[in-house]
Amino acid sequence: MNSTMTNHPTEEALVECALNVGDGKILAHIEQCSQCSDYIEEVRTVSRDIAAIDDEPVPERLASKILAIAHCKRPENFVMTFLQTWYNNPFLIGLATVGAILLLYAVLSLHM
Amino acid sequence: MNEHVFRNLYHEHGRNLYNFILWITSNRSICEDILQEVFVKIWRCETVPPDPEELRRWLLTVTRHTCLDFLRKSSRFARFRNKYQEEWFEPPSDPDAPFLWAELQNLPEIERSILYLHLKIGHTYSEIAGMLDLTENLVRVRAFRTLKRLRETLIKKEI
Repeated sequence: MNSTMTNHPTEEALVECALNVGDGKILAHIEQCSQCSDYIEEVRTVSRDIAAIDDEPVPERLASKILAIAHCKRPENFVMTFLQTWYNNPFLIGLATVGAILLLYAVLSLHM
Repeated sequence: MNEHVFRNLYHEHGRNLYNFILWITSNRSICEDILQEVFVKIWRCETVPPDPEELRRWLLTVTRHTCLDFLRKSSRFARFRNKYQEEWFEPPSDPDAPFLWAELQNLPEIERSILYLHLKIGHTYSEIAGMLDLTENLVRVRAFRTLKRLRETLIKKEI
């Protein structure tokens, strides 16, 4: 029995070989070792079975609900954008300043 | 993003995303809620990645994060899931896959995601690592352990 037959690759290397491409040493070993080639075949069967599970179609009523999203005018997005960026707008800053001055004036005139 | 781009995104990727969510949640009504939430998020985006591969990865990442947020926030679903495990997990429509599907549902979410992205979508370990915020080696090890466990379970079943 030669060394390729006795030195079995690790299980990790065999799974890697089953899923992707193994290196030359492992491939040479598999050709001669029925135990390892069976192992690889079993892993390949499992992965083939997983890949073969049928995808389901999106239910029709869900599809129309989702496509209807595009008719929305993004109200929440507008509010969020406004809240995040209003202070970058000089007009709104001016308006807020004037409002604050008027409020201060009103409060002070009530107390004087 | 305009309506035309949004519709194209849905027609090209909607089915994949639906099945990815179903793979993670294994419950159709939850899956429908999450898919809607994903597309609301997409619609709110001003721009999407221009490169098709990058776009696909981006969509899968957004979808997975939405799934995890949804399940995390909805503690009542978590309680329901723990209490009524069998009712929660709906079988696949594919009649040949119920046993394998049941075994997949016993796996942690991260392992199910890795298997879906690698075996069904065909992403490489390195791409999956980027999507799941893991190292490539960790993805490889998780894929190995999961397949090893599934193989052993299926062998036991055949015996």
